[in-house]
Amino acid sequence: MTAQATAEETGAPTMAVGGRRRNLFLVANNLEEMGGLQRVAHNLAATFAAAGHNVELIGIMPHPSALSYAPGDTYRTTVLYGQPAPPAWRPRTLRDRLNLRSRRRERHRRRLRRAAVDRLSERFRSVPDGIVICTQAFAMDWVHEADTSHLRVITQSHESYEASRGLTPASRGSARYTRMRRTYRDVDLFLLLTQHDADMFEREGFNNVGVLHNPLTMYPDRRSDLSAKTVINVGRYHEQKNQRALIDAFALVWRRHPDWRLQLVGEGPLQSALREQVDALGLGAAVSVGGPTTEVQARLLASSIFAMSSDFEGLPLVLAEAMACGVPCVSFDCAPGIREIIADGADGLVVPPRDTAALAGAICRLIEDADLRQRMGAAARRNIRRFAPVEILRQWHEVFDLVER
Amino acid sequence: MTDRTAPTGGRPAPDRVPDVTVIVIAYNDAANLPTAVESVLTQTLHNLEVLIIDDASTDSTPQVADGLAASRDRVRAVHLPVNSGGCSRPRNVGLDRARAPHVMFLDSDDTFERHACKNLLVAAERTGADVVSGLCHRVNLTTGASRPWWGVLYRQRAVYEGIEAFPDQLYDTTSTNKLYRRDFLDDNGLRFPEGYHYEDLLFTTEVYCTARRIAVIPNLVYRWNFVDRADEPSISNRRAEITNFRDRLAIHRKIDAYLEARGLEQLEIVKDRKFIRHDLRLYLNDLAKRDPDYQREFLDMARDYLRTVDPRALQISGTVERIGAFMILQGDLTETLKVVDYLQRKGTLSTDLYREGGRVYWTRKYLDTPDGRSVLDITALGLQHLPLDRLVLYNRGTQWDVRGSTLALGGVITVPLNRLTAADRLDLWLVFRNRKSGRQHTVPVTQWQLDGARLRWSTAADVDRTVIVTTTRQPIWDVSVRVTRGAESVSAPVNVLTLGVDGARLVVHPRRSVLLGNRLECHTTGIGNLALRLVNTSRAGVGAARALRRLRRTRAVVLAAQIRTRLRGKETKTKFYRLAGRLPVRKGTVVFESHLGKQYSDSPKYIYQAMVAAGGGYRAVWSYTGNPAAWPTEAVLVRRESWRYYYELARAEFWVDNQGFPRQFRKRAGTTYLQTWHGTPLKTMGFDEPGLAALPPAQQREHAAMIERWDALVVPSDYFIDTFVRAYRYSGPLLRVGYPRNDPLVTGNDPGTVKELRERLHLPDNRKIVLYAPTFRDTQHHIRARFQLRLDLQALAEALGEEYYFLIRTHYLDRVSIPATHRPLAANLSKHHDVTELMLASDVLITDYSSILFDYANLRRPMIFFTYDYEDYLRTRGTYFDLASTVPGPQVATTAEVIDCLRNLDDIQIRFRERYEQFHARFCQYDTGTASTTIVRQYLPGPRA
Repeated sequence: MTAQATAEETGAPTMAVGGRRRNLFLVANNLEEMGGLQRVAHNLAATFAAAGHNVELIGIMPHPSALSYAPGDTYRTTVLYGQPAPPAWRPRTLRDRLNLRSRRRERHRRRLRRAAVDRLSERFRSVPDGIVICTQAFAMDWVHEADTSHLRVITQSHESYEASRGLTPASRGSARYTRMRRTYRDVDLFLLLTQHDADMFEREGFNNVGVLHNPLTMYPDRRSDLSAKTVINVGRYHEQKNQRALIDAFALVWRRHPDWRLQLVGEGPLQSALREQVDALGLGAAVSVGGPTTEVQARLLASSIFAMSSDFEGLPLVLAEAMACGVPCVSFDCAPGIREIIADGADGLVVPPRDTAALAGAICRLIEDADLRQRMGAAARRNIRRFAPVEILRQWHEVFDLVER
Repeated sequence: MTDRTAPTGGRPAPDRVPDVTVIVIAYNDAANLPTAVESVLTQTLHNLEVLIIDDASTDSTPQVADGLAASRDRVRAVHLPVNSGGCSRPRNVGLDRARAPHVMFLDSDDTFERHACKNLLVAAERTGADVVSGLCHRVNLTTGASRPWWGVLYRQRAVYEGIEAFPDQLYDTTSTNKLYRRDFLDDNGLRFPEGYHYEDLLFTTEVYCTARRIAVIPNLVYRWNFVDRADEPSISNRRAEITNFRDRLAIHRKIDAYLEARGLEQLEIVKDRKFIRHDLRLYLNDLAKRDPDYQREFLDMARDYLRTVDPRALQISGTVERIGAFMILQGDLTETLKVVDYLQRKGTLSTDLYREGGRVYWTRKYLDTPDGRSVLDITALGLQHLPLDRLVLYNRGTQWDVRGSTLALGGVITVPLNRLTAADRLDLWLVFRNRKSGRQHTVPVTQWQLDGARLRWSTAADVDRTVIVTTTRQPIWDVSVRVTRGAESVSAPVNVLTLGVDGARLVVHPRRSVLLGNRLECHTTGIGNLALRLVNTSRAGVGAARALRRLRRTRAVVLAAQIRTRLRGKETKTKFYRLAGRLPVRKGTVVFESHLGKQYSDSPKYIYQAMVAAGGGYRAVWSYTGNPAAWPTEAVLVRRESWRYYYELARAEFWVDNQGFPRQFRKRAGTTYLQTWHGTPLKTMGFDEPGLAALPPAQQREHAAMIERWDALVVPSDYFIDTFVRAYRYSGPLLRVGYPRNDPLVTGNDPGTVKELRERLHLPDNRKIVLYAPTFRDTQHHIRARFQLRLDLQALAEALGEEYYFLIRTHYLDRVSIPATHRPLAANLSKHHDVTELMLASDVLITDYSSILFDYANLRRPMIFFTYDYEDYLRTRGTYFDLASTVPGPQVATTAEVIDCLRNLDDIQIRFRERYEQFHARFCQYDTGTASTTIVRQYLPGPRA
């Protein structure tokens, strides 16, 4: 005990960047998957490393897709499994139960799992103290079983409360909430993206909730001049994002402003369906349903309005990114997270969910009133600084201080 | 989970000042002390210290405490030289030795919630409060049940600038669920009073009154454990000893003196009110079980104390509570106990109510004393108007005998206000009701005699023949006498408090198996009523039952059960349905279902009635769930999801329902499906609602297939076509005839029908009837809470008691309960099948976003919209039109406004007349009172020979 305390004390004064130098473990389901969360995890790891912390990013399993984010060399990365583990065995019938091959496979799976937990404990034991930040509920299963007795544990949920409870269509039947009840309630701190989500979890008996936003990944030096006659949306082509409504809304806009264009950026299963819709509406020349791009920032800087028509969201960072580029946003009021980003009427416009006509009306308002557009664009860029990495990092340091008390 | 307290992680250096000192007091509690200390050491706040104060224990507590202090570096132990006999001295010693700027208290038999210290500390630092209080749970260690203690004070975060800002906080008098600034306690000399029990009451009162700022957090922080029927209850729970009550009064006197010295008169009233409603009630509830010496002494002490209480505290307590205080002040034990009967036993009327000059009094006694006439006047409670079946009669058991399997019982029922008379044709039954299944077994009472206000009865019953034992899960039967007069009936549980029946056994031979048990044992329930419990006295029987239980868990038996379930499952039945579908259609058979078989109600009911009225030829089949008693016996009744149900649907010529037959029923060619949908939509639905629109395509197709089965849809208005029909993408024929369920609202809207209906529903005929029908709150459903009744019944009772009567009707997925003491004011008719009848019987409707408003408009009676969560609700669910500018009545958000509206109904009708007409024209467009007859005549082909 004393030896370790001394080691820590000797380490403390030399590292002055953003407080004391800390040993930080970030744990995610995997490190490769194309998706917001993995990008967030890599970003966070890089941010912490830049602030002088000793950072290790751990993925539970490798993911078949190619790594789409180049990990920096400022932090260590570890993957616990050599290859994706087989799914758990859930025998249904008598025949399932008698299947010896499945039984053997299940034994093997359990062995792998134990080995993974041991590997995790071993990584944790490589430091005398520190903080584990588990970014996903699935990954928490392993952290929960590993030895964290000398560490503090922070868990995150990037999903809204409703999605965690399986109340949204996309999340129906998900085991996430059962998991969270088991593994999230006793950790030092459980961080959510919005105050609404934190309140809801608190009502369910989670007494360790806190709120912390994800940092912006961009804050360009210049802002869009808002002269291009382009409305933009960035997001996966998925039911949840409901770009269909946006195309419908733009059809209404286009009747009044045929010189304006709508640009959709993304990829996903609905791409061809959206193209068909565009053609059916005769908007072929006005709406582009484009593929994914690495140039999101450039596209945002070349746009004048960002429009979002999702059915559900957590805390959609893409809105914040648009605002960082000085582009005012128009969105359905589809989640509490929307109003935590957009101040309706001040730096963007929020309309009732699924009200296509209102969405079109709000877009037209920004098109027709160039002055308003400029004012809101400037305000957006100013207000969104609260999501800037340096501000979020400061909040993380407060969180670290809190869990270490 | 791994142990987070292992010393390896001990970040706080030994010389670092801790954030919180937790003072753990222990006296002869070596068994529990380590658990309590552990709950502190495993806190997510690590920088704290534990100070164990051992109150000179005589068991191994000192050694355990020292052991903890030696092995854990955040623990210190202090031993008092002599036992102090209470909690005050050890806590004060702890306060003197605490090092941290904040202190908390923990008793050795309780525990902290894991995040308690951190949550309280963070709140203290953020708010700068002198004291922060969190939620405490009472945990029954025997059953594991856990209940919030004064949970109503801890619904949300709050900061009060002094106790005057929120005097109700005084109700929470425990000192242990709080975190105190040590400076604040020291500077103000706040310490526990030594030499007194219930020290918490005085200490917390002083803390509340001294604190400049008080913070409250909704998080659970403290688990206050107790054990049922422990041999040695903890100090504060030994209510059976009279000194215990004396101690409590002593501390209340000290509190009074303190508040008086500080001139805090208003707080004193709040405190006294709490004393009457809470402290006194704790003792009164058990008073009937105590011996006469205790009762006498208790009453004397209580009377002496109540004399010192501010009369205003009595004024603000409830009507019957006030009578209780009055009787104590009179020193009348018998009358006091009658008040307890009413308050504790769900409104049991053991008192002799007295009527004089149109007023109803609690009793005739004391009417000529100074305050008597006003205190005892309970006309406002409305007991005199309450239908017989909602009264709880007092039934004092007077004799009993147990011989073999024969139970002989006798008793006296108190009849209030001559509600039963010798001229009535009465029948009496002895009822054995299974507590779990609700199944009742009855035998006639052979001898009885009504003599003024006393109904004397006695009978003997062979329980082996009467009580049918089929289960071992909850083998308890409550015994009561039911008195019936025509269609009315009233139950009176047999009170055996003074008879000493416990332990007597009746011989029984259960039909299922003698292994279940062989005796029914009498016992007295907590509130003094007779109940029988199945027990097994033969050793062979006990052994065999155990073996049977073990056998049931073996794999073969479990597997066999699985196969059985599978064979009876949905898939097998669906195959059977397809097979049966090859048989010819039975012409003239109509299958009816309402709300998935949950009710006999709505449009299917009225179509059915019209069909019956039109004459024979049809064969009507009704689907039901639960108890089929509410369905018409003339129809063929089939339980939903039974084999018969599948068979009837497979062969019927018509299906009529209002929601949707299960999806596995693909409709055959010869069947016609008439959909009567259960209401005009207000909230967005179908493909207009994100829930459905965002489903994966496969599920959307499945949904569309269910709708494609409809051959015709009943339509009440063009608005319905614009919204519902479009949103569900239904394209079949529309029957523009109006809702069959609204026919009676159009045709039966006359005083005669209404009066008749009220009589049938046992509703008072001389009061205005208010129907409160709130809609389903889906956000509440998600957190699995009961429906929270947001109308303040107490306020309504006080303002409108004698003029109004409330029918509460919740959505069939919500539940609500009404306290027994408010029964004269309100009835919960959520289980009544047909809401149409309730509408017709009412004078005014209070609702929010329920589609009932469209139907009610047919009556042209006033509506009030109690939309307390308007903003929230609209944000989660979109609506098809702007509520505020369309609804034909005032929108209000508080009970006070509701009261105001109810008092000015005429005004409302004038103010909203224009809008009401527009509303009616738009939404009740086709409701002309002839929907069901039109449908039967034109749509269902006429009866065949």
